[in-house]
Amino acid sequence: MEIGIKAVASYIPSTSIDNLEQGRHFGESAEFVESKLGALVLPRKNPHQDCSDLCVEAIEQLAKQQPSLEKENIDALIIVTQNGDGENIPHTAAIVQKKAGLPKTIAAFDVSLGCSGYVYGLYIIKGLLQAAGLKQALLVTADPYSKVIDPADRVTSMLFGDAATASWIGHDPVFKLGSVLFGTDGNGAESLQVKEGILSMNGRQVFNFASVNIPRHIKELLAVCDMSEVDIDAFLIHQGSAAIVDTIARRFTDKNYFIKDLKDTGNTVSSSIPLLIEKHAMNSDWKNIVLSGFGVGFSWASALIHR
Amino acid sequence: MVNLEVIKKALEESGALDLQKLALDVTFEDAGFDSLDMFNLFVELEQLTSHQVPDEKVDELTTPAALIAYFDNLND
Repeated sequence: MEIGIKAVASYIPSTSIDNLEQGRHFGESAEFVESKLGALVLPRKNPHQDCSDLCVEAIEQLAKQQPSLEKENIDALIIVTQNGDGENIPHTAAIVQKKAGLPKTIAAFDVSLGCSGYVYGLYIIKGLLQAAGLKQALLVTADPYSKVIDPADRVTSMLFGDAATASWIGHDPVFKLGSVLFGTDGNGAESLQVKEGILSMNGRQVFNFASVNIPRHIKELLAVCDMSEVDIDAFLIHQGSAAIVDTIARRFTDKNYFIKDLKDTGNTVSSSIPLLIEKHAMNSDWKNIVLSGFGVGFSWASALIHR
Repeated sequence: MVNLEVIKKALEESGALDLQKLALDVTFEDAGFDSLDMFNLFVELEQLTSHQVPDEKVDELTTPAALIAYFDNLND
């Protein structure tokens, strides 16, 4: 039986930063914030919440949305994060197993990836379920960059928002997992990194990497799938900023098939793609969707999902 | 070869709509281009010339004239 995405739910903290006001503070125009950065508000977790709390909130949303999801029958849990609880030992997935009331028979572990992490996570889970003869899993993304952002750093503080998503992965999916391509280039390691607890980003290098490599990667994926742009109903790519989505979309015949929706969230790292799937794809009539995540590492992954 | 027309075309390719103020000795900032427009411009020019401008040089290349001179010097 095919394994794929059965459902997606999310948790977005209710506390947020007004990005237009923040932009004024940094001397940026409203037009720049809206059309280039793309986020009007940036959700921020409460100080008492840690990564695991965001994960649990997303899992609870998924359980509410899907009454047939029975926690005691979940076989595996992956948390995609690089900003886990405390100082990353123990792994956040173990903490989430306890807090969410998941069974002790569960295989639970973290995957340390940034904006490419959701696509990687889908295929790690598919492989795990198939190899171990398991039936269903939760793929959870939560990377609260607010833990590592310096509020005085204009480059990072106007981009990133906190959010978490939970995807139910298993048999009888809404979207099956098709072909996938991966990529890694450690030459980009210093372009987006945390040192002494603070995130720094070389915006130009990250932009260069994404704008040159990702359109090419997506086109390679289409070739592997023996498909062309017209066969794809929507391209759901990582929402790094409005400018990077626009720049990648311009490399294709019709940029309107690229969904851009980050005004209420900003760049939510590994949560950006599942947020798009939840909001735009699950209740659509789309048959073929291209996903592409890219960022920290540099790391990237593009995949076809289909009904 | 990078000249003002090539720069205009690169900016158009990257989605810039208003090129009216663009002139050789007017800074890109005064001509209305922001930091992300400049990221796009450098990507286009780097693809055209197969030369990546080092980060430390980017801040110095504030006008089309400076940009043209930089790429001219590469060919000398």
